[in-house]
Amino acid sequence: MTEDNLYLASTQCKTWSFGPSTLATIRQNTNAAGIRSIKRGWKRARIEASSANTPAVTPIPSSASTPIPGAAPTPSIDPTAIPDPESLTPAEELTLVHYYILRLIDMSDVFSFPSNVKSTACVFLSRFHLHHSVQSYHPKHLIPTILFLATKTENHYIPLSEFCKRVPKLTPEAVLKHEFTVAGGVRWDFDVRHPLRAAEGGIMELLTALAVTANGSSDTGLQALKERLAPNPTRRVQDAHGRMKGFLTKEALVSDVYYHYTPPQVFLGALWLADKDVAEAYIEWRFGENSTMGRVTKKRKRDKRGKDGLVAKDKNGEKEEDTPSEAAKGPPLAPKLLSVIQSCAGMMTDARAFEKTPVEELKRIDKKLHRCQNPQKFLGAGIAIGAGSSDGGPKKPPEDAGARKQVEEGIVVGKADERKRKVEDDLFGGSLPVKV
Amino acid sequence: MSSSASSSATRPSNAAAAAPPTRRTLPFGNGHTPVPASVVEIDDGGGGLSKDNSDDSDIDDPDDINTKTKRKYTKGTAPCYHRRFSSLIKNRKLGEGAYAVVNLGHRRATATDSAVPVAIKKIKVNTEFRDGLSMDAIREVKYLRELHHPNIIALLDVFSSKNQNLCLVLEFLDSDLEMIIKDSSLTLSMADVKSWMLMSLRGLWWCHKAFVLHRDIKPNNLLLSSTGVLKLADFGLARSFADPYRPMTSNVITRWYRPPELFYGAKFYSSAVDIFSLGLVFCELMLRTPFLPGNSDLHQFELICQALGTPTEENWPGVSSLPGYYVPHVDNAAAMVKERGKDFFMNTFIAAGESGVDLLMKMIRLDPRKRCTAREALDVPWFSQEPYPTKPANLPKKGGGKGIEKVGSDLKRKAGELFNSTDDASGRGKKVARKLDFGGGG
Repeated sequence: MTEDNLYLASTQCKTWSFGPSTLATIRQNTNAAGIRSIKRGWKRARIEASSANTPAVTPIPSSASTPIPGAAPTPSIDPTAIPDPESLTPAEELTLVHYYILRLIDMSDVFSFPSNVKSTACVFLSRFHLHHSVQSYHPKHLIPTILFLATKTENHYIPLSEFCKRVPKLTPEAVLKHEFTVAGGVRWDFDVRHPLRAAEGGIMELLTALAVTANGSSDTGLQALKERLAPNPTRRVQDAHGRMKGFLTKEALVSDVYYHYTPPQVFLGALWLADKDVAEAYIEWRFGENSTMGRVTKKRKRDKRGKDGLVAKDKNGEKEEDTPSEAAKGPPLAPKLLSVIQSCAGMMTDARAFEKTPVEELKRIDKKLHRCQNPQKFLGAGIAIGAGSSDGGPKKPPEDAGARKQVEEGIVVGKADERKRKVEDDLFGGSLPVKV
Repeated sequence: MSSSASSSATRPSNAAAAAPPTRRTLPFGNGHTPVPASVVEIDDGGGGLSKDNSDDSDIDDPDDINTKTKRKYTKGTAPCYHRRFSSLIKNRKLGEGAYAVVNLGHRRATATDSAVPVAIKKIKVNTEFRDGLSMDAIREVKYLRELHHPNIIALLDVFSSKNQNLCLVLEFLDSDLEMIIKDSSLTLSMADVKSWMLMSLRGLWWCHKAFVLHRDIKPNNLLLSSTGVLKLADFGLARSFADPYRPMTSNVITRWYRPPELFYGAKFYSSAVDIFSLGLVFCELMLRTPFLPGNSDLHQFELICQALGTPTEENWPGVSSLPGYYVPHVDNAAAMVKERGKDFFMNTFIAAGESGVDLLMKMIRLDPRKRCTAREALDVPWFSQEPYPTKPANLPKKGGGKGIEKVGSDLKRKAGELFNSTDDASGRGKKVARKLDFGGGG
């Protein structure tokens, strides 16, 4: 029984770890399912619109002499003439999910929730939309629910009334409405393995070891580590710690590293980004030539910590049989581990691009999504709709105040040059209080 | 074990499984309700059969998966079990409390699998907890989804009923250890006790290995299968531990099994709390009556001091710095009890033999740091000495249908106890209020 076996038994490994291509396939399928559901919605709305627009009631002979006035409004548009909306591509869906993960991080910071709550919430959102298209469930409606659920699963419960007070216009009903949807959507897997614990442990180990070497030690690996981080190794580790936490609570959550790498790998990846020397010296010390603790096992049954994130599947028949002495004979793990760490780090750096997604792009996607999700508005089920729109679709009538309000709540509106901050305010339905 | 069933059940598969398209409202709040083009009639008879109309089956939809899951199970017994559960055919309720109702159900037979009896634990909507899924339910689901072990109850599936009640599909278990202890018609040999202890420790070891504290070990949470296998159940108070700097509530574990550090209000404790509780279960198995049945927290603590010794700096370094440290009869030096030695336990638990007493003493040491871990307990010679642990199948059993009624007995917790501790003395399960740890130990 090793830590690995324990991780291999976790739902995170069993159901939420994939290779990059599998992940892409799943997203593709999810997108396709989303498109199907949009098509169904439109098909139905079309039927409704046609029946509403055509005189549905045949005049009853003799019994009613006068036709009911206004019973059959003349259709101003032909529902069958409007084409199905353009649906979102998997990439567009992903862009939107990433955007809302960033919003979720902001929202969590409003409450000053601990990192584990924040991280769990982000992972929930990501996992939810892995199997459920944003075309079926708009993330904007889900994020308060997800954050609240994360407080409960992470044992950081705050009463819902308190929770709602901190987010403008948020009602308890709105939060609870989607709770089952979200819980079922993450397959009831409430336990998320974060790199945070590994990170704290690793830093503690480094700092403790450095405190020991200060008094002289015979461990050559440790001496090398100390030399590499000279002149002030402790300070260096502490600084790296702070920066690393930043990566773990942002880049790691926005990127797909949780699907591809194990928590310790993510930790080391973040440490590598924070301070290459600290991470490399640490790995060299623990898994390098002079270390006896981590070795590539000869039989290549499983590369301890090395690859099990990527080949998380098929654990059957893998038994931890290697005795420590046997393991020690293999080549050191460090080079292999380092390359894994670097690719993990690379994935996290790439995630930064998401923060730079132009607001226009987000608006464009959301507009598309809005059209997909609201066929009635565009097919004019019973409502006279004025034609003409900038992007080819019919526009909402200015006089229909109710519909307009709905639209404003539903999509990213606002002037084209509005700042991102403003966008996020709109999405929450009001201004968020800035960090407390 | 049925872990395979649970994992396959939760994965979306558009094959085979019946997928009745459901009418539902999408959570956009715009009233748009997509409805499938054709409504396939729900087949209630055989289950698991349907035309795979992939365009209509919306795998994208959690509600739909929920429906699929729900349809895998049905209340009542499968025909093939009618004889075994004859007493329950009319009343399939296994237990009810304010917190949940447990019904006997079964997993419908499919082409490849025959029907399997299950316990369906329906979490009631708590009138006092208006914040959605209750913490108990969340903890139970969270940990049981992760812990797969022969000595831990298996959570087969989770679904929500039409009234948005949470339903946990649990492995069906016949009876519990409390029933065995109370059944005066049964004679328990030391080999039997050893077997139950062995299975409990294995289950507990796995929990602790996965950094989960059970926090409510007591005989009626140790359930027994029809084949005699013991399984840890009721993870409504469980939590993960070993998060640095994160305090935990000390108000857990049923009073009779609560270790001294929790009475002292310790906020940072370890797996040793579960070991202590299990140690007291060990005593109870031998005595056939609770070893320390206190009728109030204060009384309970006095009993601990009398039976095990008075905690002092000498036998428990650092104890006086715990927030609630207190010594009964502090003015009366004569009433202070030194930590009991082996002689005391040998007198009381002679049947366990010397090595059995050694294990017991390691489990119920006052100082939690001196208690053994589950792993160490499993390594003690007692388990490998004669008499060898009885094989589960040969263990004494509570007979027939009578046993079934008790499966839901761990539910007799009051919903209100989440917030206000009631001291209801009627019924053992109610003896001690269960309090919950809400915020990070706050």
